[in-house]
Amino acid sequence: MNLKTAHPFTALVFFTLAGILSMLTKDPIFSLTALIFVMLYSLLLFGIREWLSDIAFYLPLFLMISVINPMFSHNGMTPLFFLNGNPVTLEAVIYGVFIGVFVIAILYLCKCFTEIMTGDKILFLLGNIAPKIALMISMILRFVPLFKERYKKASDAQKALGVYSSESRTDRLKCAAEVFSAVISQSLERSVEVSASMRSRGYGAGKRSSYSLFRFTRADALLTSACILIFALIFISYLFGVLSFDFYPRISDLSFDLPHILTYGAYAVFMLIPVALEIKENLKWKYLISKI
Amino acid sequence: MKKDILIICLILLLVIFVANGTEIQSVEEYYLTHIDDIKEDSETVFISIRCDSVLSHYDMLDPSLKKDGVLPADGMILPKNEYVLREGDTVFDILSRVTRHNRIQMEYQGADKNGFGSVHVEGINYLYSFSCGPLSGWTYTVNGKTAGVGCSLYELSDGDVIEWIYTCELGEDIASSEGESIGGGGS
Repeated sequence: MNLKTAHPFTALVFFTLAGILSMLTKDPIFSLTALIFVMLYSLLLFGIREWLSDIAFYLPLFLMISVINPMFSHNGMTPLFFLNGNPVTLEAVIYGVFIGVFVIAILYLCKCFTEIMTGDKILFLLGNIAPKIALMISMILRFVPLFKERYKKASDAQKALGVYSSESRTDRLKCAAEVFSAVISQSLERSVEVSASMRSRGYGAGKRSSYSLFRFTRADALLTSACILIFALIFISYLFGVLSFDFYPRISDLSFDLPHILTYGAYAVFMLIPVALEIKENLKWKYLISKI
Repeated sequence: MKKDILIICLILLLVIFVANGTEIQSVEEYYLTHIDDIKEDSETVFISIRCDSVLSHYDMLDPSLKKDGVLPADGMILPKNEYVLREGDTVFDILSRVTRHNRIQMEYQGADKNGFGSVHVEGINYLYSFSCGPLSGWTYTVNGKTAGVGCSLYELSDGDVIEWIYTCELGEDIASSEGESIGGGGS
């Protein structure tokens, strides 16, 4: 079993708790742990090629976030230099780097979430409680991949018509912008059509039933309770102030005494769960193939 | 290709424009402010900066400021001292010169950035508005009285005594060292 084949409830519990934990504290070790494991997980989920192209997107984003913070935040005890009479401090620079790590860890987590929690799983989980919200969430999550697909289609078609043939980069950029705007208007039009089509097919006319094949097995129960248990442990140490960390006006010292190491370890174990399951599953698959 | 070159030139121009508007100073350069020497006939003012009110509201203080060496133990950020008054100096001019000279961190919002038409002092020595409860912030008195105007609108005269005081209860908790408690009034 891995998170993909697990019961939707289990996956939801994991992602919710992982989201809460990653936003719980400003401890840099915590965020770094989250980033490393989430990157590892997305490598396993998406494969090396998509992973590398993701990095090409996240790295500039990371640099941008890191540079912007010290420009606007002037708090901190160690000025490095002064920009138009305002101090650019070491603390602000480090805090910027921290925010970069933090945001990218969350983005990776969201990417994994959309991969694991497909529309049918969300409909299954929320369908009976809040059908409209469930439908909306699944449509929103589907919007970006669908948009990408449409963009690729339109861009390919234009390429075949010779739109990008100009040698000038500026011209080609302009063409891309035109295609982009066309795809946006197409998407907006489609979404209106979808709602009209759904209404004409009787959506919302009465109570709907749905069928799905998810079963909550013993392994699911085990995994869910393990997640909740580790979360509770980390949360207790958070309540005791183990994870309190500040960047301004002076950066708190990192400490590696027993409570800290235990908390970091617990968090690492928590984030390791999906990675370990994925690796186990991959090994099993290889083993079964080798037997054929 | 022509268009590409044109665009690159435009971007370069923009970069030069932005770079022209930024001024980078090293730490030493920035703190190297000229303080006039006190002569027989020069006009002078006295200024002090204190935050002793924080000590009596210590439980409300932002935990990040409780670290060692951030706030002075006696609440005196700058003891009372005499400085030369230049022609047309406001309270803010003196404050910014003195904090620079003594290497005290100070962050402010410029007069054009708010609706009061005056500079707003956001933080001195890492102590910002709201760092010590919802009613906390910096305020100032001149000769023991609140001024009633923003600090960059108050012009000083010879012999004035300025006190920058951090309040935790909107001015109810602080008394100027000249006596009388100070109510209301911001900076």
